[in-house]
Amino acid sequence: MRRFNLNFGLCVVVALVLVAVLAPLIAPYSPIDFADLNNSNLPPGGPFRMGTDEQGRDIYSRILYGARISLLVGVVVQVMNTFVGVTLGLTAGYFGGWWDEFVQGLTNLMLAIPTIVFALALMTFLGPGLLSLLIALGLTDWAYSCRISRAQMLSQKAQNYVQAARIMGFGRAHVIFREILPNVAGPLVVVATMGVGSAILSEASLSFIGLGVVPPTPSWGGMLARAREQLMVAPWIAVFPGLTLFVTVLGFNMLGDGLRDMLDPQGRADR
Amino acid sequence: MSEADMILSVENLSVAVGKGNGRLAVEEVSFDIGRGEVFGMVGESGCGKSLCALSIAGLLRAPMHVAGGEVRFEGRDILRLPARDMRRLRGGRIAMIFQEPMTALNPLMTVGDQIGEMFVLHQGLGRAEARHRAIVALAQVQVPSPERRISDYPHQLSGGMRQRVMIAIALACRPALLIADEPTTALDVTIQAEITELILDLCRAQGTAVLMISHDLGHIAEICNRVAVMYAGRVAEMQSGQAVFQGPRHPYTRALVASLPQPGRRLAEGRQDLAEIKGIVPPLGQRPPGCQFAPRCARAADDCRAAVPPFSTIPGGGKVGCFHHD
Amino acid sequence: MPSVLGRRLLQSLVTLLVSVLLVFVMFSVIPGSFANAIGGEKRQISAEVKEKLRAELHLDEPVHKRFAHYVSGLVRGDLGNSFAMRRPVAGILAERLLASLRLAVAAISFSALIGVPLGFLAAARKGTWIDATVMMLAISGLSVPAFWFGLLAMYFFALELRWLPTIGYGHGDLKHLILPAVTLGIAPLALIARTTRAAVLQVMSEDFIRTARSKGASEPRVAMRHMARNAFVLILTTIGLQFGSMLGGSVIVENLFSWPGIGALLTQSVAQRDIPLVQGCVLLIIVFFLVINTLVDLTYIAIDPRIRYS
Repeated sequence: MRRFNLNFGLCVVVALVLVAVLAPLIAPYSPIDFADLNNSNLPPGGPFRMGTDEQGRDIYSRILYGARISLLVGVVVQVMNTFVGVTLGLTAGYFGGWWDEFVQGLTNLMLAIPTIVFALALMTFLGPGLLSLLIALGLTDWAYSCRISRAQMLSQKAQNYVQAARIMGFGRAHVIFREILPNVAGPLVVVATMGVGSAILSEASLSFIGLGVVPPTPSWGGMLARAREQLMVAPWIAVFPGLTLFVTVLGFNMLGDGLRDMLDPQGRADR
Repeated sequence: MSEADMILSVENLSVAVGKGNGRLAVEEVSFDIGRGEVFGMVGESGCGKSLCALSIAGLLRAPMHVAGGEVRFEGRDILRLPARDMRRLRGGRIAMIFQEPMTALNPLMTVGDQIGEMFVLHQGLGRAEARHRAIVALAQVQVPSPERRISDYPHQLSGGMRQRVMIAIALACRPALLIADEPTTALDVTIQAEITELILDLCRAQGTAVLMISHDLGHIAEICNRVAVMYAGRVAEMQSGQAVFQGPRHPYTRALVASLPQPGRRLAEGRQDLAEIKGIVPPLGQRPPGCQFAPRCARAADDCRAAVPPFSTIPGGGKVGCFHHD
Repeated sequence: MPSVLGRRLLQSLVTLLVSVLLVFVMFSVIPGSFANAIGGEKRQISAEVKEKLRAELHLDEPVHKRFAHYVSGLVRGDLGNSFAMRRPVAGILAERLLASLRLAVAAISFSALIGVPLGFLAAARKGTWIDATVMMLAISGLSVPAFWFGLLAMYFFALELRWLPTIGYGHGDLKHLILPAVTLGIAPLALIARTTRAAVLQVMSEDFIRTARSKGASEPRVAMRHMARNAFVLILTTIGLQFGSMLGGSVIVENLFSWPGIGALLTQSVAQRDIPLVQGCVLLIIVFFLVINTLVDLTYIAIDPRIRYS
């Protein structure tokens, strides 16, 4: 089961990256420019493998290009979140005191608010668009990486090698980032992997309700929003972007699960 | 021992680990226990004594399973008994107490409910009556203020108290056999003797036989009528408690007795190294073909390595599994 | 026990205050473009209207005074007025709250009533194909985009089969509730199933289960009397937290099905940059979560004697 998780997840991630990078080469049509209203809402078949949308654009091409947005958002957002979370968590665990209390309270609060609500709130000021999306999502999903970093920091802080480093004269920053951080890496990678999937899903959700990527840029969520309007006449528009989204998120989740199993060699009760 | 007096008879019991019968943790163990007898089973960690106990009580879980042999309790073959009948025996006629009292009780049930459950299960009593009997049971195991302790939860009790509750549960329905798997190992040294005494006193009063499992040969030899010494899944020697200690026949038992620190010896004879048995117990799956103890035995010869030694009877009662026993 | 109870309530109160502070900081302290935001990007508003707004929102007063105004308003139930709808925010929230609550209750019931038995089943048949299937379904449920699932379900059941209406509230009756509730409940269902399975397996490996068996208890009895209660303590937290997140987590689903709840309101007000309304929604969502969370903890205290008598 664990091998399957890992393999499937890896395949999906690799496929996503390949598609995103090679989109201009493999897409049969331009996702934005090749729009002929005569072709609107054609079912799958013929030159348009997955059919066309209401503007006559090839869905298959748009999905391929949409991978770029998804990958970009997923990675950037997760990097931001991890950075924020790790910094807060490590410092909170290391310094303790009121800073620790504050960070913990903040983390609890962040866990209380669903990511999307917080992101929406931030976007009230930032306005719609890709940049606002990145900032908003990048500042809202750091709670788990913070918790993990803090917990690791607390358990490692008392270990001998840390005290040895301090005695040898290494500064605090060095100790935090060069000595302790590598030990946190394992569980962090798991959280980060699943975080990318989550970020991709969030972007799609926000684009779906019209507050994410602005059309005509192809985004899987945005395509589903258009699909909703055309549901009666062209239901296939809803199938493919959603399926791609599903498989992508599934891949990241399974990869995360597989990694977690790998890092947790003692089969716990739930494995 | 006559048939009527024998309540438990174990014949060539084997327990395997994993699929099939390839890796045997317990190999062809045979012994019997008489009515009211205190029978001891001694051995190091991993010698299979706990597995024997669990097999008798029918509590083996996958991947462990019985690979062969017979266990007769009060005349019936209980290894092949249907589950429902075995459940009636378990708790009612065969009871068991375990090594770790801190985790053996349900944290969300009162002590009274947990003892009372025995009466509900085996005597069909109602809750009120069961509760009343539970108070009596608590008093029997010498818990002070039992009528108040009845409503306590396990986390409010010390380890020694919890073990007393376990004893109360086990002996509630006056079983014919009590299996005690290292009941005092996890307790404070100061109360170990108390708990052991309690178990023996209550069992003697009720006529309950005891299968006492331990790793402490000296202690077991003192309190048990007969003792079986186990090594690497097999019985090495079986004699009366006194004889095992004072006149061990098997080289392993000899070495065990010799390695026990004796209080006062240093004063008398001057400082000496504790005798130790060189080598280690063969892990499961790496057991030698012949006698299990041969690799570590001073008297090992070719016949020992070629075949598992059959049992020879010891004059005065008992048996020993060694080609070169005393 | 009163002290444990009291401490927990106090904790909730503190978190509540911090939340209020956070919301205030987020929405009232962001400098500069506040007044500009009111008008939106395209509309130009006259200087005197700007002035009026400044006065009404006390924008020229120092921060702590504004906070005092804000808190005193909260206590009185006054959350300010919506820019777009020109009505008290509190009133608008009250109108939409019931719809969201209905949806949340329906969704969590669906999730728990199916998720818990599935988790039990997977644990009881651990290692078999049943277990693998349930786990596969669970991870799929967590990965599937709710709005995609909703769209497909809408297409099948509403447009093709015509069993259910596509969108809308329709007085909150069952027919209209089914699709949104199931869509919202898929991910929580998956999580609850996974957590239940883990909890059951963990409890079953504990020593006191072996003791229960050694008493001669039957497997059903062991499961019900000994395992279930201990496992529920763990499962309950998950169910509670999922329910608590639903008021905000329903944003997408409410949009998809045109469900007139708080989530849809939030989206609308963000699009219109209606700051008081956004503020009100966020505050309500946080408060709801805190209330449910506190209730879950209180239940814990009631069920687990180890906490009560510590």
